Amino acid sequence: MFIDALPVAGASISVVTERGSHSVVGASDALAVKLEALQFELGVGPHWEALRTEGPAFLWDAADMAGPNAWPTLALETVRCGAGALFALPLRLGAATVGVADLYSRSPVERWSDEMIDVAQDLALSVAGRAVRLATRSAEAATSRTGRNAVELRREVHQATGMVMVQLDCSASTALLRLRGQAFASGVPLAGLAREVITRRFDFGQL
Amino acid sequence: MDSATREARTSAAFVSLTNTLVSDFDLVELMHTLIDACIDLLDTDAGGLLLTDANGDLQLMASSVEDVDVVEVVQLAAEAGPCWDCFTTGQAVTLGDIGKGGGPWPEFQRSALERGYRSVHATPMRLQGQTIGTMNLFHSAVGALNERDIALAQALTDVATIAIMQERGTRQLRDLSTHLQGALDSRIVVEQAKGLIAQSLNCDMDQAFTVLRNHARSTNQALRSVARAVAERRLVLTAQHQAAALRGDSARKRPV
Repeated sequence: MFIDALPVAGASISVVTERGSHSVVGASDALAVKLEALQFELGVGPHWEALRTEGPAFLWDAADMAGPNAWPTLALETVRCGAGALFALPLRLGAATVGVADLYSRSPVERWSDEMIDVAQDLALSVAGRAVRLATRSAEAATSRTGRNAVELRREVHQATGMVMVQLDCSASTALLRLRGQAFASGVPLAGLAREVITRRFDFGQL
Repeated sequence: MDSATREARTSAAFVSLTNTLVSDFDLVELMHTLIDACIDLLDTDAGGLLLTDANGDLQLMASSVEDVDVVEVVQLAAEAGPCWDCFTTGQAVTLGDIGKGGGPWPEFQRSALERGYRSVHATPMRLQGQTIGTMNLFHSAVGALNERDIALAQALTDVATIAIMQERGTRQLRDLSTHLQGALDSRIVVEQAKGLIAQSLNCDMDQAFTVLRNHARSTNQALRSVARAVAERRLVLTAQHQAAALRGDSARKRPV
């Protein structure tokens, strides 16, 4: 999908899990997986920048050691792996960031146009729902209906996210993660838990 | 409603729909305006608007009320029901008597009847041979819409469809499904903001939406921008906003 629409060689999709680690739910090739793992291990790079800022982040030219480069070790390793540029787009469900789409190209590239970045962001939006479904290991994971009525798109889940933000005084990303974590821990479907929150039978502030 | 009143209200509905084209384009507000106008002019009880997503499925983008019953009925109709048929054929679909046995969608029909809906009319959102969604009206009485009402529903819906496609036209690089995905994301932000307001102001989701919508209108901002500001905690809506919204809401409902 990303590879068809953008000048990139490969992509990996990872989602932040209920336990705070990352789970890769899809990748186009081994190098895409490797580059994501590299950033995860080093704890720096566009991947983390995208999560932190909840916006797109880039390393346009990994081989350019002379220019300003926030991640020298990562740049070196990226070139060693055979890639020239890294791109990271946050996977967003409304105000919540649920994961990252990490893309790479073989050679360094010129900075993308704003329009190109918009296209990349829209693609990331369109995979965010499916990605979080794949990573949500809650009770309904096995039986969850896909597509229409998919759990991550149900409005109860987003309404509950907003309510939990107030109950725990946290961001939308954290609130959604807590909802997924609680649903997983207590073995109930996410949509069911969301409904409990909306009807005020379950309050995270009173745990 | 007498014909003069109806004509005036029809004009007003078109004006408010086209207004969304002139100012900062607000897809969420546009869809709610469309549903409200159709319910008002066609004298129906509930409405829901569905748009296709990146997977080619129909997603509920706006409904007349937050009521879980309405949401469930529209969702069923979007899976195997009049809305799905309307979407796949690009033709309006009417079921004048949901309760009549032997209908094509038993699960949807049962669920709609349980919730008090006796007839449904689905209008395609269609432009240049492409159907991007459906606008669906539910009525608690039996009976199909007449020709004039069907034409009016289609005309109002067409204005909304043109608006959605026109916004996309300014950004040709994007294909239709990713464009509509952006719309879906606006919807998610609105839901998150509603939850946040419902919790902090201790109100239900309908009232939370009224507070949100009222603030957007009174400050002349797009609903989705206000929703995003709330969901990202850059804007706090208080009990004063709530009071203002409720005053505005009752003023609108007062008979003229």
